Amino acid sequence: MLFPTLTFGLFFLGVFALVWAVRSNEWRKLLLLLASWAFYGAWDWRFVPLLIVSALLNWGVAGLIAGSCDAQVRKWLLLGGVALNLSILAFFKYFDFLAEPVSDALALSGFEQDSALMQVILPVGVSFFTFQGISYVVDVHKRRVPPARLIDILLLMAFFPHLVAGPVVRAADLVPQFQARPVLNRGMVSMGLLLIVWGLFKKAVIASELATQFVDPVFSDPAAHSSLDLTLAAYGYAVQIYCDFSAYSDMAIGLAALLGYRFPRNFDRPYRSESLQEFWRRWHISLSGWLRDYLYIDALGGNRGGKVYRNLMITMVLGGLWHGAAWTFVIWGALHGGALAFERWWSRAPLTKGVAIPRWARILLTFHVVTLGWIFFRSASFGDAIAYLGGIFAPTGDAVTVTPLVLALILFGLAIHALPWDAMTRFAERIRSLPAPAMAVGLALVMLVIDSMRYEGVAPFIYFRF
Amino acid sequence: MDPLMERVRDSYEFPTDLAGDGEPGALGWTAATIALATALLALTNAQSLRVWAEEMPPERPGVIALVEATTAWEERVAGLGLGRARLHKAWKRIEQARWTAPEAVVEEAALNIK
Repeated sequence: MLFPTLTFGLFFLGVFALVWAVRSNEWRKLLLLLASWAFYGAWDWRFVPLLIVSALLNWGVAGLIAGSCDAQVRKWLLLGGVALNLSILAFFKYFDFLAEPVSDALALSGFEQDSALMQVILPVGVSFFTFQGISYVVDVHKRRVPPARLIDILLLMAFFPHLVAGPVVRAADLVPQFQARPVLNRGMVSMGLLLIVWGLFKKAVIASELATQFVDPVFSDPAAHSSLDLTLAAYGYAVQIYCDFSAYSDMAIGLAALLGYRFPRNFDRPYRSESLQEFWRRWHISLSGWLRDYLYIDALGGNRGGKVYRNLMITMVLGGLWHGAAWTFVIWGALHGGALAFERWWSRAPLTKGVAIPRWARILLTFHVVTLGWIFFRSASFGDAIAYLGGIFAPTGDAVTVTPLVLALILFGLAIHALPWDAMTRFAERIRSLPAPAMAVGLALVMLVIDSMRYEGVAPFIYFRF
Repeated sequence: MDPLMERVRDSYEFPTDLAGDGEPGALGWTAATIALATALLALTNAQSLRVWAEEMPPERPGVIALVEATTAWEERVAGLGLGRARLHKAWKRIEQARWTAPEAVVEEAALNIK
């Protein structure tokens, strides 16, 4: 059930009517929980028990941690809880990656395995809800949050707006909101509706159009395309992945707002960053914050002990592997880790003191490092990525397939990064005082225009496979 | 303040938190907005309703009747002159635009053959 579909629209209308009709907060949470399981079950009912077991596991371990006064016992419980979460993730996400060499070795020894038996289906959103579970257990261990009730943890992990592709909402942000029936205000609703239509536009028009009309064909056969096409398709993918992923986050934040809940921002005009460090404060903020707090600082020790470069590298490579078990993601993570380490060295080295790089050059350089990373991220294999990069500098084909619309969408996707940070907030402030009929006409008109512009059908969000 | 933190000060914030107190009757205003917008979309975007119905498995109970109802609704709405057909056609024209006019491409190809 994808957000930009009529099926989801009707599902959401039903949920909206039901949850606001009930007075009791407990019934409301139960309804939201059932709706979330139904939403998840629409992909594959077999994985709903996995979601429930994962929540039960984290609730149970956190409860045991909170009930124990022995630091050693608490530590072992924490390690056990994290290990259990990681083993769920490892089994579903990395089994095929790890089983492949074993299978190859067995085949070489004459023990052929049925490949279908060796494959594991990836449950949608497993990376997101597992990380949410880990953060809850760690936060209870560190006494950042008190242990929550079972229904709150079940709902925290299953809440449908963020379930399949984030943001990774932490217990400290969402569980307190579950304690009382929320109250709506027009500002929240106006901003929520704006985020939904803006997300719809970014996904259904910009990301889908770029993917189907230009980026996918160029990446699938780089040898046939000219240097211009390859360069523009790399920029096109940078815009596509931003519009695709940030659209999901925007819609998730907007949908949660209509149900009365607040989610933190997940994207903040990332391609205006002047450094990789800044990029990671603006891109997938909930994941980069998670990696910083739980992996870089809590697990690796952060900047302490003079291991900052090693820790940066480990964090980013593991961040790359979080996206999937493929060498292209490892290279992508290593590229970001290496660039972050280089930036840190540059800012502290006596040699570079007094070297001033203009702001525009820093933005341009950061954008191109990020785009280089996207080529590895998008390519099916390391060889494909190298062939793509080779094609930019020494093209083997001469096809120029970029259309005026595609170029306009790439430029538009980059230009929106120049908007002020509060542009949408200011607009929401203006429309919150409109009467309901005027608001409804405006909303319907915008959605009608978007629906007229959208490419036929809806492609799944890129981050669904993570 | 650290210049980086100054630039990304708004990163970890809740975008739906707007200043000011909640107005009374906000839930009614929201419900009315959503209900009216849904009704307007059902009226002007009947084509999407029909496509959605047609994409359902026909063996499911009620799907055939739903397809008939949405097709009839689309025809009725089109008869009133409502719908997004013209907007969609305009967008398709923009989508099909190329840097060179089709005649120029044919002429260029003909010259290459010569």
